[in-house]
Amino acid sequence: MKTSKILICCFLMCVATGVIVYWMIGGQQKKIGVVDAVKLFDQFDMKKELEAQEKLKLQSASKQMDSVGNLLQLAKAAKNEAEIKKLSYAYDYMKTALEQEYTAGNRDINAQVWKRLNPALDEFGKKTGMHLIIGANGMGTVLYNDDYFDLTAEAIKYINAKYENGN
Amino acid sequence: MRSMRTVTKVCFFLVMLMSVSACRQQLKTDAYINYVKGNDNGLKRSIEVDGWQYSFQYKPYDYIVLMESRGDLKSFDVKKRLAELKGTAWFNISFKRTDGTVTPLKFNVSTLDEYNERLDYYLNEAAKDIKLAYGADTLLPVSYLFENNYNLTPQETMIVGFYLPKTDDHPQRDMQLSYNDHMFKNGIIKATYSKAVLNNIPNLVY
Repeated sequence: MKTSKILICCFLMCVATGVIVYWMIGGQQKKIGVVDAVKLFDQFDMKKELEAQEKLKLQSASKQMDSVGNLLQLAKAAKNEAEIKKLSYAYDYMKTALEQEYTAGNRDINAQVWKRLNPALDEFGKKTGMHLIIGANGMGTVLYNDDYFDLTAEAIKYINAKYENGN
Repeated sequence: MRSMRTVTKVCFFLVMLMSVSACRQQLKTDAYINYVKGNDNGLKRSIEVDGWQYSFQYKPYDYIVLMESRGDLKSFDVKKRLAELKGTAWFNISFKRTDGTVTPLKFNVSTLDEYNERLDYYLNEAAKDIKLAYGADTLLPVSYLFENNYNLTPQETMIVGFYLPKTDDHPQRDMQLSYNDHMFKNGIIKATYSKAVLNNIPNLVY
């Protein structure tokens, strides 16, 4: 009887020691994760939607430019110098404007997307109890990581849900 | 015979349980307004982006009636107004700087032309940047009003209304309101209202 009591006490003490050690080690562990910044950026729903809107705008301008290009070809075939000069000027002007719009559009989208991603990533880090999130982008920050530290999928899911639900 | 009675009792109990759970909360005017404006009930959503705070407020019909009657429901034709609102969905989209120091129309504006351009956008253009995903449909605003407060408050409000598909006389499907802020370039701001949240709106005791 006495022996069984001692055994139970020993067992309970072992369990308690195990729990305390586990808790202490767990508390000291620094949680680090890796997020593929390019993948995160590309798979952010808002980026896809803004790009689709921008594409529509550029397509319309591009069609207008193509029409002027066709007229220019006709003028060249007819060797109408006055028309060629006028249409060449219009075509070059439209081409430059389109390129500028494309560059400005891309710049705007990048800025708007990062404006949303940075605070959302902060929040994601805090909610998942991370101490450090490293951005992997295939350009030297992280040269290799396996799935163990990879939080990309989780981050994408969290950020898109936050964006869609509006909170 | 005994088993038949048991089945009847169980059915009765289930029906009672379902009817009790289907019953909506009944609220008086002040409590109703607090419910609609409350941050925890899912009808008002706040989103912060880069020093800006956007608030999307869904307005149930009873709430609109209460606001329009200014508390004097006795001299207000409630039935007529409710009938007019049938088949529509209404929202307020408000935005302000989180520190509330300056009105959005004047934020970082250095010339009168810039101010007028901004005002013009909100008066005439912003409606194009708002849409409502309702079930499988995408709805565009049929009514839009920018509440011009002449810079008296640090917050601006757009009121926007949509016609629902003809099958629905009131909002009863999942909805997602989105506003693409072209002025301050904060991207697309969205707020989702689930069917459950809409079905859970209390009844107003008139």
